[in-house]
Amino acid sequence: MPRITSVVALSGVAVLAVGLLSGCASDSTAADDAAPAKMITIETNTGAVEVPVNPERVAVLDNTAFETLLSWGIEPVAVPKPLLPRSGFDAWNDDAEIFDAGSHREPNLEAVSEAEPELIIGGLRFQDFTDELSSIATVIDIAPSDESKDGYVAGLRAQTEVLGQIFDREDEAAELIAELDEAVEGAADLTNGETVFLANSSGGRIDNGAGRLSRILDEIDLVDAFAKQDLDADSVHADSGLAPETVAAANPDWMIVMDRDAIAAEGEYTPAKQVVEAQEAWKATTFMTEDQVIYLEPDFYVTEGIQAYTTVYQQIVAAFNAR
Amino acid sequence: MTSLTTRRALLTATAVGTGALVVASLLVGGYDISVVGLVTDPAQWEMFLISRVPRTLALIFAAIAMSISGVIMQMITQNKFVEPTTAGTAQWSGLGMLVGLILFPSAPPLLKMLIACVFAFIGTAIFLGVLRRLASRSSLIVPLVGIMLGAVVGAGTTYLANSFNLLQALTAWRSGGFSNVVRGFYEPLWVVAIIAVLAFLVADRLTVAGLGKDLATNAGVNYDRVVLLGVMMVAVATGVTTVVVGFIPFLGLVVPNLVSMLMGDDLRKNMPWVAVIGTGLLLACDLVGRTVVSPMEIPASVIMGAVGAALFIGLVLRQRKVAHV
Repeated sequence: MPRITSVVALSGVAVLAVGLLSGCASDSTAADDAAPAKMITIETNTGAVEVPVNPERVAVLDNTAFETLLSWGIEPVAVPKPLLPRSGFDAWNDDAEIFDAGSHREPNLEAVSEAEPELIIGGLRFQDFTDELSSIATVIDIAPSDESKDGYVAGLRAQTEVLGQIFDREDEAAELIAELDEAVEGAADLTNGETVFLANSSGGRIDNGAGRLSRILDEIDLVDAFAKQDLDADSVHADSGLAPETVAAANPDWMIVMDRDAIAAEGEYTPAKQVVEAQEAWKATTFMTEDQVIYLEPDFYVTEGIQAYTTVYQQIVAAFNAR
Repeated sequence: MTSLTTRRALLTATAVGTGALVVASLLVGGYDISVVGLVTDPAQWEMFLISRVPRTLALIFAAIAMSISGVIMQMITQNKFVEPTTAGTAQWSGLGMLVGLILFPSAPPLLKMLIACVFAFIGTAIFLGVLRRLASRSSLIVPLVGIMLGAVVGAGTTYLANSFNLLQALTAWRSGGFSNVVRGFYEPLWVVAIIAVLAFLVADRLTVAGLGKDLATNAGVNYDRVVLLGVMMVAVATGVTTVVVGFIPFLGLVVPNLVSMLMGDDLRKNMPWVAVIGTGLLLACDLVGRTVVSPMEIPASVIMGAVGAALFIGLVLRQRKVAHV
């Protein structure tokens, strides 16, 4: 019965192998002395994903999450350093142990891989790299966007809530959301359908910035002076040019300006305020004569997180109260 | 004789048409301005001077700059398909503008313009240098070489802009156009008016230079000096225009070809028509861009790109037909 012998022998080897393997496994677990991370299921823009709670190694690529995580004392293993806001992030920027993931235009995926993250908070500017990143670790996209349910600002709330769940800081998350809600409510109470010109200052010129800024109007009662004409904010022309005289003709009550140069220029640049005030065509407009121009924080273009929006609504409240 | 009268009629019609477009450019826009209003309403008059007149002048100057640059470059290279955007001149001045932005961010616009002009000059000189070493100077190879050089320089510019975080500013400025042109912004373009006059004065010498070095020297023209002068004029016109309003593609290519098809190659006679037709074409493109998505605007360069590309293909096909016959 040579055949039976060999089967028995093989099974014996197999049993031995399994025993050895499981032995090794249990040995190493004992050596690391770490309980398996608690897993939770969170809701992301791409569906439900199971992630570890309080992951030790997390790569943060979504810049709208930076400020929240910094304030919670989370130390990421990799961040896109070129996208860090100019001020307040020295702790991350100067830390040589935090890998630089590069910018979304020139990402350094190898650095992300080398950082050995357990979890990657991706999406937004890094949306196109989700597939590559997925081969490194679990990637979640919880970034707010215009496609978020109920709009961008609602997306900020959802994002903050999920971050709270992941990092076990649900109370702190609720606090951030409450602050946003309070600012939004204040702004919504004060605004009553006045018109606004959403502007972008770039290359020393002021032009239409509705494509990026119209989401500010999501939950308050200001009306984009140009959206109510045939073209709405979703139109491909949301970023098309607007001549200064056209703005003067529409004569909006308010102006909200994002200073893109402030974040883009390495060195000196012409601040938006200077460009706006030099514009002769606007001398007679309501927003200039009544001094109703709101300049967003210089780094708004790369923050755009819940704190940035809370600040915007607080600025609106302050500006409306100052009238 | 009849062909002469039809030609005259055609040119008169063109001049009248361009005049009408100038008037339209002065009266069409986001702010309500009417002829009556200009007299009765001071606010309209004010806006007219702040916005419409500068924009219209900028359009005229930019059109003259690009079409005359096209004429000059076509003479120098003896090739009908060369102009600032197909020879890399515009791309080089873009690079110069960016270098100025990086090295002297707070410098006055005039200094940035100067740097752009110097780069445009260097770029054009490189293009001409490459042409001299080129074995085949067939009419299509030359612009292809220029377009390739321009693409390389453009790619380098993008890379540089990316490394210095200036990509947004570069994009904003490249797709510029005329929507932001107001008083206090277009004035450098007056330089182009001087260049246009100068071009008219040296038109005869450029025409002779266009016959080639040997013939020109025989005719008693200092060929190298004329070429150098021509390149400098092109560099300044292109540099200033790209800094103030961005790239305007194809204008310098289409207009001189249309004019020489109608009137032959006498530059002195052609130059005013090149200016008039170029102005008409660019004004028309800008007016389309101003009105189709009003109150928003599409840059004139985008419309010009579409119209110019079609006309370019038409010219190439026509030339092929002639060559085959």
